[in-house]
Amino acid sequence: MRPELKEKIEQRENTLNRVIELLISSLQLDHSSEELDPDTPLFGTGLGLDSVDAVEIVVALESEFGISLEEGDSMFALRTINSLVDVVLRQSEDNLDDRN
Amino acid sequence: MTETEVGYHAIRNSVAFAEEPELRCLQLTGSQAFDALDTVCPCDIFLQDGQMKHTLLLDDTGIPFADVYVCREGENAYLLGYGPSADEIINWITDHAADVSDFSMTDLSKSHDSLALDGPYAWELCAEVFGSDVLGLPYLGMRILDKLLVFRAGRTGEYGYHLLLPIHEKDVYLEKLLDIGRTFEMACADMAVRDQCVLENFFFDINREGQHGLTPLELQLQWRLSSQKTTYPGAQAISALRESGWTRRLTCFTTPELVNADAEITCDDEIVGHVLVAGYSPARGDYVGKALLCQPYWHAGLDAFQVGGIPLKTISAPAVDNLSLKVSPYRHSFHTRTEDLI
Amino acid sequence: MKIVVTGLGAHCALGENIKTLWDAIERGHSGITPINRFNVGTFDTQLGAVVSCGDYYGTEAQRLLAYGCAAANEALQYAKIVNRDRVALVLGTCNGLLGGELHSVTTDLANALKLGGPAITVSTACASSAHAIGFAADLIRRGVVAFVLAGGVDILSAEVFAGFHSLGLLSKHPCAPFSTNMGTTLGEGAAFILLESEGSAKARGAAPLAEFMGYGFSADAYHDTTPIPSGSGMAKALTAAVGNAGLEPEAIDYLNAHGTGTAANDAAEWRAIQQVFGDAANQLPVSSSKSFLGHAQGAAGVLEAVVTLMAMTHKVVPPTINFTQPRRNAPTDPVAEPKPRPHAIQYAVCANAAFGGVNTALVFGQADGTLRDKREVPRSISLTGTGIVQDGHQVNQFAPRAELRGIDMSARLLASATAVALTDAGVRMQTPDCEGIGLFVGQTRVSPESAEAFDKSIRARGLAHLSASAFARMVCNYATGVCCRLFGLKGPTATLSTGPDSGLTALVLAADHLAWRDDVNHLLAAAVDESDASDHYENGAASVLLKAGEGSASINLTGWALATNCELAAEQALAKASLNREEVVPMAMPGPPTVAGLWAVIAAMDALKAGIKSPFLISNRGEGSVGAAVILGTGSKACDLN
Repeated sequence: MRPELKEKIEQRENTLNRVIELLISSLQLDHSSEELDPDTPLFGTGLGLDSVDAVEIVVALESEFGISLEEGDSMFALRTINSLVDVVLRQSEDNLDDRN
Repeated sequence: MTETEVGYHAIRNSVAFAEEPELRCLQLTGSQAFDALDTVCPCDIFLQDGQMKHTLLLDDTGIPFADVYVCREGENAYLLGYGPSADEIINWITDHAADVSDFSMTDLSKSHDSLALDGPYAWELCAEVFGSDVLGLPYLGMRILDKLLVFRAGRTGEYGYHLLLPIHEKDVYLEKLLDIGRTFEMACADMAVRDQCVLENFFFDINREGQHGLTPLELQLQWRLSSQKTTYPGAQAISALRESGWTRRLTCFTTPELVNADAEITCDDEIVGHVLVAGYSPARGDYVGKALLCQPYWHAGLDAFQVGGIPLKTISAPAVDNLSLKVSPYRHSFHTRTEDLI
Repeated sequence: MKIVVTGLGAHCALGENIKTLWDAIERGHSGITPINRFNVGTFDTQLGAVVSCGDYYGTEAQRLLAYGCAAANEALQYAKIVNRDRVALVLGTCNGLLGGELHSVTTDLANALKLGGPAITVSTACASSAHAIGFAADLIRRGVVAFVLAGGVDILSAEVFAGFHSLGLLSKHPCAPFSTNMGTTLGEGAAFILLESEGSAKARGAAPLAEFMGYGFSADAYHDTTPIPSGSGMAKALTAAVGNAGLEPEAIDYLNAHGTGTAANDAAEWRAIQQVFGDAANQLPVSSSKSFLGHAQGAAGVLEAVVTLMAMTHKVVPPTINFTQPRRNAPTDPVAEPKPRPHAIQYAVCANAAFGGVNTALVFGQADGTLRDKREVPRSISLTGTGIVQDGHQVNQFAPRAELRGIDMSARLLASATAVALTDAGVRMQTPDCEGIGLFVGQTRVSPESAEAFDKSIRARGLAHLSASAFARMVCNYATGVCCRLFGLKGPTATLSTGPDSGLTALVLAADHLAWRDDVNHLLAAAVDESDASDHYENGAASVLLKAGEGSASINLTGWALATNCELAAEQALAKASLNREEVVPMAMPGPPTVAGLWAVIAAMDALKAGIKSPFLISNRGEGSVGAAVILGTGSKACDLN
């Protein structure tokens, strides 16, 4: 495997695992991390979370990753575990760009 | 626009209807109706009145053969979904819940026809046709309104309702629906159109990826299983797989050109998986699909793949941003959608 | 017996008394202004409906007591009550001082006012003071006391503001119920009404303002913070209240809505009104006083009752102000006018709803209204199921695979005891059997576990990022709401405290509710205590299922009483059971303070089941602010005599 792909996969995997652990701890989910598939929907169906949980997720993401969700984006960012991972990766890239 | 395009446009922007003869609906009655469901379903059966829960029916090897919702309405349980015929499901439940005695099953398709309404304004049309009580139905909620069974679910990512109408009253409702539907620019959405939306939203399709002998773990459907139950059909296979781990996963992807089902996916000439299903996404203007990818290539957000000469990129599900997320029954109306500026 | 209102008092964002309040409403002047008391700069709204002189108190405790005293003294003076020995206090408060012992607010107030009657705290979040009015009327009907000061007090603190903000419930504009601007504005204050019997008012020459005709309570059994979208819970409370008043829905000519302004509340409430009033809902004036007062939390119910009573005496309906465009699926006639509308009200309903899925409705009538006959003989009460727990795990065993995520220890304990009691009585959970069952709970404070989680989230992340889920658990009726949701209990529900042995008070109020009403046949009386770092408490809960009519188990509640002290309560309970003290065995049980009384009741039941013939007397230990006593026996002669 090409090193840059390997790095990208590792980065994705690490972020995914951190997001999953964050969801489990901040929402007191009764699941092990292996049981949470990356494309699991968060609300309604899927994990069955509600609007109170949504607030917890937004606050937890901010504390853990230092990212803030704009009001308009959050409904799309909060669809699945993977869409949260996308937001985290995108914002950390933006932060890197800012520093460079 | 072709008929398909009209149907698609309606699902994504207004509301579309379809008759759904393929939807199965069983009513379970008796003091042990929920015990029977608990015996055969892999999810936790603890439902509030009017609550629906999305689950699967698994064969003994842990492979899903039906994509179902379980529901409670008063003392009765309902099983709603897609898969084999109602008779086959009834026989399977009878076999697998042999220790549960006091319950009986009725195939409601013998007495009811089913209609599906999907779209960002489906709630508004439903309220006008079937009464404003429909608006009091949360997502994954069901109610009986008069003789009408209303289930709020759907697989298009938009507001979705499954309506079961007594057969002899269907025409009356249908006439009213078509009549009022005109003011909503309602269109008919055939199965192909709905499948297209199901694909865009990465909903599970028992008739497509569900035909490849994949387990819920590989299908990313573990959320439909209980994390505590150990005794449902297929439970042993699931726990064995959890123990041993699994190495492939259904992953959402996008390509600039159409790729064939079964086509091999490569990464630097190494075969890393294959396409299970693909199709055009009008919302995105490119093609989306579901691929079975091996570890560690099974992640979203990777653009290192090819199918033939066509580049393939994995993405997070769902592949589209649905208008329904922005449409609120409290604030909006189809009739004022241009002023609403969503 | 007719219950009448002879006094009013209010201290709120519309000024320091009833006159300033009503002047503001007549002028269409809202009490909503930018908040200066604490820093709201980091939030996207700065609005509140605060008491303008409230900023000057040094502490929140002083502020709370001052508001309460001001409003209570006004109501007592309004009613010209001279001797305060025979006045009871039923106080609704949501937060008191967030996380503390709620009942101390009530006892402090009763002491400051020098009231001699019993004192009861009702804490059902934003429905607290409406609940208080319902229970207050029952105290008079049962002859417990001659006068009751019923109402509520809450203050707007930075924590509560931040909590509502985190849940996305606050409006950027002044709260405009039923209009296109959504969200609520928080308020604060205190208000009281003085209730007494019509006979008492006549005898002392007091002029009744209105008659208190009836009330209805219900549970949504749906969600901790969101009302059931169908409005079925509120519809149940409205129907119960109108029925309890002996009226048909058509008779109601004004409805003062809970109308918080949030999307979820207003839509569900209007759906409920449509269910209860049918087509007549389109002609019914439905307005929300929160457009003037903000959402005064635990004091909201009584403040809105005061507005309604003043409107009745002035022959007007109060408007909903701040109104711009009508919202979709909202009342047809929200009285969206700048000033009150001339309109004689014969019968009015005040509706309230709250976190925990609680609904209340109160009915007031013109004092010259006629009343249909109500029940004259109480029904007998039997005990059909019991549960005692000391840990919170049994809920898993009895309600396997219920959604228990995020539920705190108090809720687990209460749910465990209730699950055991329901199972003991052979009731299947989440079935239509449960729909009619209500739940009255004695609980003195929110779960220490949740209070700690809430404080910790503020310490770690700041007010603006506090834990929304922990905030949702910071209401005393959270555990009660969880039980209703887990088991599908949709009957009348309430959470109350009278200090030690609150559980026994809950039992007596539940027995009374069942005995005298026709719209409910089963009620659970329960209590819960949770341990904390102080070692003063230990984990424990108890739950008892009461049934109207004789049960097959044939263990009956043959006497029960609330009174100013425990000796008097015991005497009255004995009198009701027509027994002498020598004929009964006193039963006491050690146990967590709130729960001990109910544990003793259950121990007595076990003894009766084991074949002991003599009846048992369980009374509280005189440490609380009210005396409560019950007699348990296998006979039922008491009920014939009542």
